[in-house]
Amino acid sequence: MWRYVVRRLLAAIGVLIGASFLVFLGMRLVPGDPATAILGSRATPEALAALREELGLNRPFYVQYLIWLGKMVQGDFGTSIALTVPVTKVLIPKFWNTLILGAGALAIAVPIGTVIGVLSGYWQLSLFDRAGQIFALFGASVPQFWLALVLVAVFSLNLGWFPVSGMYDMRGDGGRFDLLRHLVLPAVATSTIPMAVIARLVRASIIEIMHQDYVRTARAKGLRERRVVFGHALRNALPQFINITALQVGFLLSGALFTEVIFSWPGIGQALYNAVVARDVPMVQGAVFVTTLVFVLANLAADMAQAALDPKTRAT
Amino acid sequence: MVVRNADALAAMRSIHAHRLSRRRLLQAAGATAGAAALAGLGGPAPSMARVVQGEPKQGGTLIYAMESEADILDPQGASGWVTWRVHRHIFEPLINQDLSRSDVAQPPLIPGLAESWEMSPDGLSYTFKLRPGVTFHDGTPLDAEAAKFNIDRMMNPDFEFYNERAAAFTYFCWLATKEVQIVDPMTIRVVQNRPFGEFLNQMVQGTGGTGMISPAAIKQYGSDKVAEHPIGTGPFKFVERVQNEKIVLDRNESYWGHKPYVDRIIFRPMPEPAARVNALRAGEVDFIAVPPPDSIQSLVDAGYTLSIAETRNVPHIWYIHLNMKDPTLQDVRIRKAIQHAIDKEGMATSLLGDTVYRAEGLQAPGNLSFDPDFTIYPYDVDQAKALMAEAGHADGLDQQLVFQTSTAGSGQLLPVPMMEWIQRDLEQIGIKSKIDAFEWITYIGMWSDGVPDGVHGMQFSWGQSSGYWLDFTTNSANATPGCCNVGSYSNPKVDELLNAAFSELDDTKRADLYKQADKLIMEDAAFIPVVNDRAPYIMAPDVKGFVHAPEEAFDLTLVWLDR
Amino acid sequence: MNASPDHSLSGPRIQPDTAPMALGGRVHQRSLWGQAWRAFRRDRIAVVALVLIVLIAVTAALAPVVSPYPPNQANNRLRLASIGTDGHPLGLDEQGRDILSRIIWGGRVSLPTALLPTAIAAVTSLVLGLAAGFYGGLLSGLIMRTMDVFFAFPVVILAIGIAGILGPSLTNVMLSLTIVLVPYITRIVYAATVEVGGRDYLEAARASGATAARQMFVHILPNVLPPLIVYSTTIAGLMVVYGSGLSFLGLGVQPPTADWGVMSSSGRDVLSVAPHISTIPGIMILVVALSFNLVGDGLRDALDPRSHIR
Repeated sequence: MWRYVVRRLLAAIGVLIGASFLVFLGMRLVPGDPATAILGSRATPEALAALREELGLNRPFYVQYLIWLGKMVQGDFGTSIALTVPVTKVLIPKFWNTLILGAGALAIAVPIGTVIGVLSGYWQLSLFDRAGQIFALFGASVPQFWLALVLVAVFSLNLGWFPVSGMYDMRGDGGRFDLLRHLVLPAVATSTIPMAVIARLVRASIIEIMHQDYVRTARAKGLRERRVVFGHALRNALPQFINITALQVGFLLSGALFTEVIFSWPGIGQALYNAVVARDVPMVQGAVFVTTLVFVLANLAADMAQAALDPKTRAT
Repeated sequence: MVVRNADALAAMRSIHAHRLSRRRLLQAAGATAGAAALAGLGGPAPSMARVVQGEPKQGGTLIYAMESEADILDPQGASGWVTWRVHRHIFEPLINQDLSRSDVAQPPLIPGLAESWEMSPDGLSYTFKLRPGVTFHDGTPLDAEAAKFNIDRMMNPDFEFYNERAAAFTYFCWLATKEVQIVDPMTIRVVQNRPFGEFLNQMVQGTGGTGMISPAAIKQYGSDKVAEHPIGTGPFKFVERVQNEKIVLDRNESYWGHKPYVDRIIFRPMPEPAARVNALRAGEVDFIAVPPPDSIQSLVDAGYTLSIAETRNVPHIWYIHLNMKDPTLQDVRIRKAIQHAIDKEGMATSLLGDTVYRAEGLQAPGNLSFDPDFTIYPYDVDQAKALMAEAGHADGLDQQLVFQTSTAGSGQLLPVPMMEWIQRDLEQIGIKSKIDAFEWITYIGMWSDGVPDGVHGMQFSWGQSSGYWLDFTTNSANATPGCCNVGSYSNPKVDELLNAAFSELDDTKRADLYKQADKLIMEDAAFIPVVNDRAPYIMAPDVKGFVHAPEEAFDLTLVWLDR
Repeated sequence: MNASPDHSLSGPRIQPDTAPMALGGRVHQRSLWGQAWRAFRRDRIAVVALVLIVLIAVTAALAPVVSPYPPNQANNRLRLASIGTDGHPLGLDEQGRDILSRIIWGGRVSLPTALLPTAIAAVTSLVLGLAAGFYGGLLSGLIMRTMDVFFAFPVVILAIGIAGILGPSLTNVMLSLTIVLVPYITRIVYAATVEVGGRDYLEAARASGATAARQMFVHILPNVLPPLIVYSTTIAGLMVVYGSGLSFLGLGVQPPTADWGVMSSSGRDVLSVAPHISTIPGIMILVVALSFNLVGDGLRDALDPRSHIR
C-alpha cells in the first residue's frame, strides 16, 4: 500500500511539474515581451526593466523557469493587470466558491447518475434502461450555457423561484439558506455532463460485475438477489464508483466555467473568463494552474481511496 | 432626466392600439422627461421633483449594476466613466460639478472642497479657500497641506509621494501648472506658467479626476497601494471591494454637504448586458447602466423606470480616427465620400433603438463649445459616389480598408454591430472593409500607440464636459506618440485656433474658437463622428430621485428608495 | 495520471480489455467490418442520427445554394420577428437577419469547429498511440508521460487558456480543442495497441524478418481502429457542445460570421422579448451533439464483438 501511495504521489508531482512548465511556456507564447504581458501596456520602462531583472529574462530559459516555479510554489502568482492586486488574493476566495458550486453539482450528479446507472445496468435492455440511457444522452449533449439560459428564463424570471445571479442576496446578511437558493440553478446546469457520464459508466461497470464469476457463484449458491446485488456486486463496484466520480472533476470545472459566467457566480471559472477577456496574463496563468492543481489532487485522492478499498489496484 | 414614464406610456399605448416603435417610445419618454424638468427639477424650485415623487425616505441599500469592472480606486490615477461613477461618491475635487440638474447644457461648477476660488485677471494664479471643518473618512483634516500634498502627487516629480500614474492621467489638468503655494492653513494658490481657460473644467473630468485622497492614507499605504484603501471626503465611505463582484460604500454620517438618503450603495460589475437585465428583473439589483436597446421597451412595460437624456447633452461621442498617414485616405474626396455614405440616422433609430443621436461634429455635447446647430455631410449615397468618381474610383476602391474597434467597453455601445453597419454602408459606394475587434483594455493600449500602418481607422468613444477635449484629440502637438490624436491629423489653422482657445480666458470667446476649429476639422473630414449617446439607465420602480445630468456620471446622494 | 480511457463518455466497454479481435486475426477482418455495418444498420436510432448529421452537413455545405437569404443580409423592419414570419420560417434575429439562413451558414462554422479538431486529433493520436504501444520503452514513456501532463488540465480550462493566450479567433479555438483532445484519444489508441499485443508483434516481426510497418498495418491497425472510431464519434458530440460554448463566450468566430454558439449568445440580451433567437441555435447544438452520441453508441455496439455475444 505505502509503495503504491508513494509511487502515485511522485507521479502526481511529476505531472504537476510538467503542467507548470506548460503554463510557463504558454505565457511565453504571448506575442511580445513577457514583461509587458505581465505588467500590461501602461507599465513604465523602469518597472519593466525591474521585472525583466526579477524574471531573469536575460538568463537561460531553464533558469527563468526555475525562478518562476519558485514563485509559484510560494504562492506568488504575480499581480493581476486588470485588477492590480495579487493574483493569489483574488483567486483564493474564488477557489472556495467554485468548490461550493462543484459540491452542489456533485450532490446532484452523483446520486442521480449512480441510481440511474445501477438500475439501468441491473435491468439491462429493459424499458427503464432505455429511458435512463436516453436521459443520460441528453445530459451529455445539452449545451450547458444554453441550459443555464433556459433555467434562468423559466425558473427565475418566469416562476421567480430562484435568484438569477451571485451567491448571496447582497441586501441580506447571507446565511446558508440564501446560499442554497442561489446554488440550485447553477448546480443543476453544471451537473448535466457529470451526471450523464456517471450514469453511463456506472451502468457499464454494473453490467461487467453482474457477469463476474463471484456474482454467478453467489447466485448459484442460492443467495437472495438483494444480497447478491448489495452484498457482492455493489460492494465490489464501490472503488470503481469512487474513481468514476473523481474523474468528473474535470467536467465539473469545465462546466462551471460556463455556469459561473452566466450566473455571475464568483468562482475561478468566472475569474478565468474575465482574465481571458481582459488579456490579464498573470491571472489566466494563476487560474489555469489552480484548476489544474485541483484536478490532479482530486484524481490522486480518488486513486488513494480506490487503493484503500480495492487491493487489486495496488498491485498494478 | 428622471422619467416616470410607465404611466404616461400606458396612456399612450391605450391610445395607439398598435405597438409603439421604440422611436416613439423614447420620444414620449423624452417629452415626459422634458415636462418634468420644466416642472421643477432644476433651479428655483427643486422641491417640485419631490412633490412628483413623494417625500424622500431614508435608508436602504441601492445596488447598481455597472457595465464592467471598475479600474483601481485611485481617483487621480484611473480612467473610464465606469470607475468615475464610483470615485465621485468617495472623493471630491476642490471644485465639483452640480449633477442635480438636467436642464443645463453643461453641469455648473460648484464649490467642492474649496468654498470659493478666485482667478487672477491674467489667469496665472488661482486662489482656493478651503472649506473649514471637512475631514477625510479616516479623520485627517482637510487643510492647505492636504490639498497641496494631493496636487503635488499629481504634478510635482520632486515630491516624495509623486505618482507617475496619477500624473499621466491628470496631465491635461495640470499641464500649465507651475506650483502650488500654501497661503494660509486653509488657502492654497495654484500658480500657472501660462493662462489655461479650461483649467477648472479639467479639474472635474472623469479621466483622471482630481479627487483628494487622505494624505495620512497615502503615507501609510504608499502612493501606489493607496488605491486598495480609498479614503476621501465624499458623501460615501469605502467599506469593501471584492474584485469582479462588488464595491460597497456606506453613507458618510459626518459628510459636510447634503447627506445621502440611502445607507449603502453596492456597485456590482456585470459585464453581460443580459445578466444585468435579468438581475434587475429578479430584483437583485435596483439600477442598471447600458440596457440592451431591445430590452428597454419590455422593461418599461413591466413598470421599470427609464432615464435617458432628452436633449443632446451627454458628453459622449462615438467616432472614428481616420489614418491621415495612409496614402489612400490622404485624398480628401475619399474621406468625404465615406462621411456621406454612412447612414447614421438609420443606425441611431434602428440598430440602437433611439438610444443615441446621430453625430455631426467631432466636439462632444455637454459643454459650451458644442454647436448644436452645426450640420455637415448628410447621408447621400449619390454624392458619395460622385466624390469617389471624382477621386478616380468610380468602380470602387481596389483595396480593402481595415477598421479597428473593441468588442465592448464603456461608451462603446454595440461596437461590432455598429461597425458592421458602417461596413455595409461603405460597400454601397464600392469600399470594401474589414473589422478587427479587440478586448477593450487591450484596445485602449493599441489606440494610444496610434493608428498603425495598414489600418485605415480606429473607432473610439470619448468626450468631456470641457471643450478642451477637442484639442487633445486633434491638435497636431498631441499626435502620437503622446495623446490622443492617434490618426496624426494635422492642420496648422486648426492648431492655431486650438492654441488660441487654450489661453483664452473668456468662456464665450473660447467656446467660439473651439466651434470654429471643429468646423475646420470636419471640413477636412479626418474624423467620422457617428453617434452621441443618450446614456439610458433603467431602474426599479421604487428607485426615486435620480437625476440624469448632462454628464457621464451621476449623483447618487439624490437617490432614495421608496420601500 | 490515473485518468484511464473510461474518462470518455462512451464508457469502459470500448476498451479492448480482452483481445478477441486480435485472436480472430486476419481471417475475420473483412467480415468483421461487414458484420459491424449490418449490426449498425439494425440500430434504427443510430441510423436516423447518422442521416440527420449527414443532412445537416450537406445543407451547410450547400449553404450558398439552399440558404433562403445571405447570412448577413438585414431587414431592419423585421428585427426580432418571431418564428413563422412570412418568408422567414424561423424568424429574424436582433440585427434583422434570417435565422434559418444563419443556422444553415452557421453549420459551416460549427460543424468544422467540432469535427476538424476531432479528426486531426484522431490522426495525431493514432500515430502517437501506435508508436507508444508498438515500440514501448523510452519512446512510449516519453509520449505517454507527456500525455499525462496534458491530461492534468480540465478540457475547457485548457482550451480557454490557450484561446486566451493566442487571442480570440476560430483557428485558435480549433487549435486549442485539438490540443485538448490528443491525450484522451492517444490513451485509447495506446491501450488498444497494448491490449492486442503490440510488443509481441514487434518481436514477431523481428523474428520472421517481416517489416515492423507491415505488422503494424496488418495486425494492429485493424484492431485499434474500432475503438478509435467509436471514441472519436462520441467525442465529436462533446466538441460540438464545447466548441459552440467557446464561441458563446466570444472566444471563437468573430461577427458578423454566423455560428450556433455566437447566435445563441447574441440572443441573450433579448431572451425575454424574443426567446427564439437564443433557443433555436441551442436546440441545433443539442440535436447535433445528441446525434453524434447516438451514432457513437451504435458504432460501439456494432464494432464491439462482445456486444454480439451478450
